[in-house]
Amino acid sequence: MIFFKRTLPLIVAFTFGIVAIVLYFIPHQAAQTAFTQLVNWDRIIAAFALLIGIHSLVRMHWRKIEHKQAGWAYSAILIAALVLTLAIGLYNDGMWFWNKRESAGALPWIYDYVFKPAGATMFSVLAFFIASAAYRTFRARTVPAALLLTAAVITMLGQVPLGRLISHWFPDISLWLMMVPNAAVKRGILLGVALGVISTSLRIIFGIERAYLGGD
Amino acid sequence: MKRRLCILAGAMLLWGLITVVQAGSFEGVDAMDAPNDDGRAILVTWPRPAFEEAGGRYIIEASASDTREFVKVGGTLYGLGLKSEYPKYFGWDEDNQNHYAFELRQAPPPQAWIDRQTASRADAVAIGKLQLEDVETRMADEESPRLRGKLEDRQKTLQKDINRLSRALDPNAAVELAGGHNYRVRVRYQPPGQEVQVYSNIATAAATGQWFDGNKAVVLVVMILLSGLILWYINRARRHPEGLYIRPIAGMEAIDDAIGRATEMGKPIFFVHGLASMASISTIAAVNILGKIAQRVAEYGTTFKVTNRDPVVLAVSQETVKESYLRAGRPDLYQEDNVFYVSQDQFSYASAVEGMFLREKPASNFFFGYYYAEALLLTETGASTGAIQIAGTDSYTQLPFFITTCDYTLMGEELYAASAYLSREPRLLGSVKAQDIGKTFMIATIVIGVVLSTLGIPWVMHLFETF
Repeated sequence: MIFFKRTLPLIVAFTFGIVAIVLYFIPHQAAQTAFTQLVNWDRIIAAFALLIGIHSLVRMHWRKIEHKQAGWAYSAILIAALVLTLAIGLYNDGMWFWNKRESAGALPWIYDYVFKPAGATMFSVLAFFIASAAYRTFRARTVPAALLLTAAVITMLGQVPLGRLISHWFPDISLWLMMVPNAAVKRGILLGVALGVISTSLRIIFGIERAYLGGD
Repeated sequence: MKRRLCILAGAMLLWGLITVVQAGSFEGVDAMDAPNDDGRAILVTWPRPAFEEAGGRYIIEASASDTREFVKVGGTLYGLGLKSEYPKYFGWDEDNQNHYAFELRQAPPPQAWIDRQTASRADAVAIGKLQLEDVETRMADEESPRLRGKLEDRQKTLQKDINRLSRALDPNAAVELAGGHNYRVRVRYQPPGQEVQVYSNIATAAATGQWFDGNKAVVLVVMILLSGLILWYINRARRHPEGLYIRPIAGMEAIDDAIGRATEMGKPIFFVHGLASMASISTIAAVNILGKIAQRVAEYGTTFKVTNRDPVVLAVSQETVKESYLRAGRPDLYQEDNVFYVSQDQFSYASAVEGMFLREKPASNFFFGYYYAEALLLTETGASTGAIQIAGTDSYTQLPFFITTCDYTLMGEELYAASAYLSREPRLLGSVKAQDIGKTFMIATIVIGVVLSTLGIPWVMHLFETF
């Protein structure tokens, strides 16, 4: 049992880690085809894993309904929506699921008039969240916060026509702030991240980091 | 006499026409396999001829065999498409300004390719005909006018596809280069505003794939050096674990406080995964941290919920949390339903988790992994419920939002060091130390590169150029 839980995953991680590194340096078509195959395997596994996700989702919400836990009505709506959407998808506007997916019918309607507007609404809420987060950050109570506030005001004025009307310096300073201090910090973070990624990858490939297997 | 004069006049006219259409030739066109590629490109180069004029243009022609006509496959204008525009192939030599270069990726197909395509198209036509037959049979039985209409549309589409595939292939249409096949290439120059055509010599080359990308040699060397350094430090840390110091990370120090707070308040703790899949290193780092947090939570006996956006991450998280509870000696407290799948869609995931925050009012929230626009939605809602929030991400675009809304934020590399920090395992700490040495090496390279570039010596910059 320990072989399937620890040894085999470590062998798989080591083998495919090394293979992926080697393939990165080989431009030959054969190597690139092999790499595409690996990516395809990953997609196939992910597609099957979706069943695990659906199982987890249904089980958790079914239990909520069964035990009449707080907010069980939301769970009932979720399961009803899941079943309804699945049934409509399988019906495929009368052509059934073994034929090519139809571009018209109830499923595209649900996507266009329910799913997409709901997603867009959530995205729109972000604007209000940014305003409240900005208010908290830009309260000039300390020197760094005051500097941040000044930089933010200049950057924002530099991005809109009003800033240019006040002074041509605003777009110039805004651009400088974005291209010099901002880019420098961004690159600093990215360099640290790159080293962290290399280090973590090596720890995984050589089996030093095993926490993702559920062990130490 | 009259007849002779006519012949003479005709000959003169023909000669004149030839001189108008073809006014000489030029040499120096060379074709070669493009280096460091997958075997789908040929490089055509030629020196800038003395007779070229501003406004003139070059037309590149190719043929798949000696017996086939040349077909236009590309072109370039006077002064454009020079070798200097392709440092990936020709480096940064100043002489590159005096040569043209063209990357040939499409050419008329060889006969073998045409034969293969014809055979596969014949198969596709046969399958299409079978599908058409099936649709027509169903149409005959269908009574619903709506479904009959749909079947008629399908019939038309299939018929159109069959007609398209039945047409003969154009042997002169440019398609992707066939690897290993010899192509003939020539360049035609056309001076501005004239019909004159100046033809070059004919060059021959075949595209072949390489087994090592020479452009990545520096990456390989740096990778070997850094990997060697990391492995050496890991080995050293294993032998001499004493004296390994890691600076305090405030966010990590606060984990115990956050768990203790939730325990005292009797409220749950949420661990929210980012949007990236298990293929992302930041997700693996997040799972490593999850294991450590879950073990502490199990020791305290607090309710612990883990939200997942990816089913594979869900499976790994369930196993990790289960093992952590087992290690803490509290397997009875583990509930599989508390590590659950939410949704694969970004905003559905965000809205569902926000709803849970508002309904369950958790005492502590942990956000680890890679996040996009949903980061602020999640953390701002969490902050509004009064939860203590600790985040860790390498997504630099979302870092400002985490810093604004969370009590503690692990930035970039700290996310990767967190696992070592929490476990205090010497080998993991050794790798963190090696990261710091690597960073010193990078800073030194940047400083040297900046100084040399300022002095007009750009070779360090070119050394790290990525193509």
